[in-house]
Amino acid sequence: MNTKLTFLGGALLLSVACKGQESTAPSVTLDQVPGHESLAQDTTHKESPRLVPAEAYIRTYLTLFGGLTALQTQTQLTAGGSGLFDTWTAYLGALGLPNYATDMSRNTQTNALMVASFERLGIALCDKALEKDLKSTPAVAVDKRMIYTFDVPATAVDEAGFADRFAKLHRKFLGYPAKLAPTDRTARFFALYNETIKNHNPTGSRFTAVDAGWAAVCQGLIRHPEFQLY
Amino acid sequence: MPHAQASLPQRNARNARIGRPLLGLTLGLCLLSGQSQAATSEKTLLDYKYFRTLCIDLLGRMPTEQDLQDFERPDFNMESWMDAHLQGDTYADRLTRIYADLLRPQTVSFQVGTNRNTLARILIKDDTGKDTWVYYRPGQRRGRHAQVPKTTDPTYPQWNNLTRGGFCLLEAETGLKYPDVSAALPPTGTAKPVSKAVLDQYTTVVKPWWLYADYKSATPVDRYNATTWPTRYPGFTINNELLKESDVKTDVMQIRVCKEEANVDVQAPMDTTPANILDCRTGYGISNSQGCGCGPGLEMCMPAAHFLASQPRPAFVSSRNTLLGVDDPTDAQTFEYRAWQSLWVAQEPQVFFYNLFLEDRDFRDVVSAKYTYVNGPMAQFYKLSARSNWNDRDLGAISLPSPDAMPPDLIPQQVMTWQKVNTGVSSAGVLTMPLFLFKYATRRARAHAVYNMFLCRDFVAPAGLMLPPSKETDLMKREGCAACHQTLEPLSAYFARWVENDWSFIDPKLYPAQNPACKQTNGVIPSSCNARYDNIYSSSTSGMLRGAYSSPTNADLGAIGMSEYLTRRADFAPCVAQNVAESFLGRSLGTEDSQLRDEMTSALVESGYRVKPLVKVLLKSQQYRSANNLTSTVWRNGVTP
Amino acid sequence: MNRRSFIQSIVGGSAAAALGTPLFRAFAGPEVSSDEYFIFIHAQGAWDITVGLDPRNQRAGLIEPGSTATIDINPLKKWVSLSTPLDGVNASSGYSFELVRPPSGPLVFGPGIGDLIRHYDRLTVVNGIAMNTVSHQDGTAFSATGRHLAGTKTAGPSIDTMMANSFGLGQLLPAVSINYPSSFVGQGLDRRAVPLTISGVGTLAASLRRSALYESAAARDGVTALLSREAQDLASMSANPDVMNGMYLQYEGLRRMNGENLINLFTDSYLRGKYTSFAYSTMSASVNAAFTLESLARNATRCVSFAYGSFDTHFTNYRNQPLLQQNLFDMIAIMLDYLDVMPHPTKPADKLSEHTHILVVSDFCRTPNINAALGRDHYPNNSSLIISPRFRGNMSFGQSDPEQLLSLPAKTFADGRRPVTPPDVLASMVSAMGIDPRKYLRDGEAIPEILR
Repeated sequence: MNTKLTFLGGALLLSVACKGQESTAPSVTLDQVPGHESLAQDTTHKESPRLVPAEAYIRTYLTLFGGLTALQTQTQLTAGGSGLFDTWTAYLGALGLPNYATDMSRNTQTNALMVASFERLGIALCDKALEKDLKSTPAVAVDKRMIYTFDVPATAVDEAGFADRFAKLHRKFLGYPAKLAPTDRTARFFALYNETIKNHNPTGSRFTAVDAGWAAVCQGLIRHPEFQLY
Repeated sequence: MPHAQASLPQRNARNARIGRPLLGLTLGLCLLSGQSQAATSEKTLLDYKYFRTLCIDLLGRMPTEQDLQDFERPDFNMESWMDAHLQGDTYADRLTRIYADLLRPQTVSFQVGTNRNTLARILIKDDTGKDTWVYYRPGQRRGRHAQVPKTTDPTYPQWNNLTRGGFCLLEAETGLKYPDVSAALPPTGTAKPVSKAVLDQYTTVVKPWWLYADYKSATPVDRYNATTWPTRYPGFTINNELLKESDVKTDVMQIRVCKEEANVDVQAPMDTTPANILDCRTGYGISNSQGCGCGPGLEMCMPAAHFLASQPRPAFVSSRNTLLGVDDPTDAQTFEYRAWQSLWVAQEPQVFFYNLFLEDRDFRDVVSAKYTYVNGPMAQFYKLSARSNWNDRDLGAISLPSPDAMPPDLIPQQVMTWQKVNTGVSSAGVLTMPLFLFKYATRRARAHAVYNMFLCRDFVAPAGLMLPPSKETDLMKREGCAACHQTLEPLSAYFARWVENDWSFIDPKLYPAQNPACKQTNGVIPSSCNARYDNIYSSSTSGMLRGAYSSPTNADLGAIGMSEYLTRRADFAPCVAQNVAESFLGRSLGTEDSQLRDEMTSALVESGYRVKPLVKVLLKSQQYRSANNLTSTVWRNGVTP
Repeated sequence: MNRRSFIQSIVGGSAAAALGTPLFRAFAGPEVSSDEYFIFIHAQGAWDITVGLDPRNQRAGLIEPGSTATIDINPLKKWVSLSTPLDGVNASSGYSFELVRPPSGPLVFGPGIGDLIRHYDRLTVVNGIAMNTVSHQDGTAFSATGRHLAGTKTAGPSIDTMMANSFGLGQLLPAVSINYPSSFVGQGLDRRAVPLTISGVGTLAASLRRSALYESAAARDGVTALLSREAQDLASMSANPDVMNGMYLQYEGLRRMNGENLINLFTDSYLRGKYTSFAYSTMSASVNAAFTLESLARNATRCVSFAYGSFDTHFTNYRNQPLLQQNLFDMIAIMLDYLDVMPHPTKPADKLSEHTHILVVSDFCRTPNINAALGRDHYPNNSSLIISPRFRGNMSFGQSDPEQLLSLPAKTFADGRRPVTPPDVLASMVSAMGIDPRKYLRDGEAIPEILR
């Protein structure tokens, strides 16, 4: 939050100290310094974001996929010869988990392999969840769905329709309203959605163009840097 | 990490981890507190990010939609929410992970198998000509040992099956020449039916522990059931190596075993001197009394599922990839019994940490506790396996928990149930757990690990240090070496009584730090002393226990002395603060964090070394709570964190 | 410090005399070359140099040589027992080994050298490296970074990071680190040079595999492109943009990896099938070696580093110490055989071996005496092995005490007469590539005597 806080400039502080006067409440506030009348001072503490622990990433992943165990989730993600998922074991090291037996320590920084693994896992979750949420027979009620908890028309939605639906996905994955995002995120994802639909080739794909569009949006959120970092 | 224990409410790990087990509690606290924050729903991005961060660290996952809705309620009270979640499964898991990352509690190889706790098996033909496994313990003392002729007797080779391999049936009885253990070869020859009289005399049938949950009863009936047991005994799964007969089709309902192994007594007379009553939970008892068996249902013995005890076959299904908890493994592999036991040995310190944080116990317990936690397999391990390679006659003043301390109702199938038990008089928390002593195999490695883990310090030579050649053997005096070894050697001495590459305890009753019986004669100690005593530091009046030269006092104080050294150090409590803060903040602490470290340290010390107040100080610190990474320009331009 | 002043600082008043030295020539060459490749191997756990690079086969002072009494000699190809037992009388004292000498030159090895002896003319051995530590963590960090640990933290970049930062930024994978003690710490490092740390080659394949049954590769790339822009924008708003910038670069790297279909490069069975000379069952890191060859041949990686071990033999497992070394050195020999025939990916007229630089280090060495458990403990001396066309082959530099195996002064450095240290070895590698060592190393001084 922006606040105009009192400011004790270095020169003023030095001046007071040199005179040996007792330090009291500041006599001059920042907005009284010429040129600073409307300048808010950023006194917030700065910290670089850090990598979400791999355990928390996986638990979140399992929660999003319906709260199954890791092995149950693995079974479902590999079902039907989807080719979406191998085994958890194949990804553990890439996700940064330590290997206590070999004394390989926890990886606390992202790298290209980890980002590739996030892509592999993100695609698996979004695509398989789409199949379960939107393509099951009988149809799954909106409030029973894992990820796509909104009405999905067979044709592409307009910008307003997208924004409503995107807001739900944004909260689900990134934990805050899309309107607070520091980038023009909704517009950017709407463009991705449209572009994916436009270029989708249904031949050999289990997805319709609209499916692919929503899957791309889902993937963009679960692979987002704000999802991986905190 | 699923470490249910009888002393605590049994929990459903899946609900605890994936669901929202504390939601009701959270809301209740929020409503009761009456201290809601400003009733505004206009949360900032920083508010949301702080909440998300708390969820990740305290719930072990990102917030769900329901969490967010709770958070957005006008009466949401962060303080109450935090208090509600500074406890429970996921909080304890989070803290445990910090120390697991430091301890790294697994090893590549872990050998706990010996001829005294392992059941090998040989396929013979019974009196009807049917193929039948006969299970036996190669290190077992048998009644037939008394009949073995002298080695010079021409009939001596006919006893090879017994004398060389420990099997209870002879070649003449089975048609099989077995075993030549040293060559690791399978039995040779053609099996012939063994007469019923011989079978009845030297073998019997047993319903073993791995097949029957009620193996201790006179007539066990609760046999392994692949449908119901995963629910009743989650995590305990065996495969066809133990479930099927040699035809790989017929279910095993009971096994045939050499008769001595079926004995259930805790004590039995020594064969050669019956007046001596031996403890059957010692290697010595097994080797010297035919009355010492494997206990009820063979519970003290482990099935190798192979003719060689030293090469067991994978028979237990489990996982080493349990960073989400043993109840939520990320794979399922088959393990031979030694590796299977090692899984639980590796879990022991993690369960200890978990419960310490869950119950918010005094953190100093980590290096001083006289208790530990055992599940079914660990109770089984401590009953015999842990000491089966020792030849001591009594259990001694050891650090391991006594077999008598094992909960009587805890059966090996209960892998998810952990119960608190007392440990031996020489124990000191994690420092004397088998995992720690085995993973950090040498005295110096143990001292170094402790120095690093609990004091946040390392042994680093000062810049420009030179190590000139010298005849000085004492590393504490030798130029250059002394810079580190003056500190390291006395610390290493605290671990002098634990055999290197092992967790066996060297009893001071038998091996005093300075032993006149091992004194030098003409500059050399007796060869019988070489295994335990160090000639270099011995004298003409006494032999010096290996590793004790720098401080015989510390060697006698043992791990308890190390514990006292650590906990009275001024950097012990700050190191806890540092370890926790660095894990939560994801970076090293710098000098600018000294105030935070001090405040966390004070919270720890003032609360009697309870970690929860320390964590709360961190969670409310500006480093954790108020941090953002926006440039000031962006911040001023209205991207409100 | 610029290049000129650096040279002055290390040679002092002898600068003029040094103008004709290999060191000066190296610095006078191109500052940055992009045709060079690097392989760094960490013999993890601390090796016993008395059966390898700095051999001892006679009792002297503290030295108790490896012998038939303490070593399993059957699998050792170069072991020839001496005819006289160690104590001169009793066979039970064991028979040590004949030193292994190449056809010419000063090099001498223990039987652990294995088949690498056939490449003797390109081996540069540095002995008597003063480690000043017997802590695995510290020794490992010291060997790889030239800096002791600061408390428990690494204080500088590892050698693979240095080379990736100087030569690999344009590479798809600047540095791949397979259990190597890589670190990315220090000023002036580009985040693209962060070593890709993995536990095994096969783990990469699973992460790069993609299903063809759902969205197209182009659609996936569209998502990654969006994320790349998001990361870039977030970085531009960040007080400390390093992390977001890193993710931006990694998204871009992923797009390239996906575009170039690198699955085979990371597939164990493919590598085993292509590089058949390795004895995969006995050479534990051979898949890593095969991966190294393939990634260099494809110009995918600038620098591959991996750990080989464990050599930590305190107990009777010491019996296999020379065999472990033999397997390691055999594996390196096979790598060299391949590199000798494989064309350079961007300079087809050249072979890869003409542009590949290999450095093998360990935590430290093992004690000259054998302990009561028939093993050897930690000791603060060390040796390293360099195989590089920019280093003089068939030579040894540095020495250790004949009776105590401790490091002895090797020459007069700028700071006086002293033994070689790990930062000297690393500085030599860095300066051999025409880079000012002070760009990465606080300490150390390049050793002109071993440079071409």
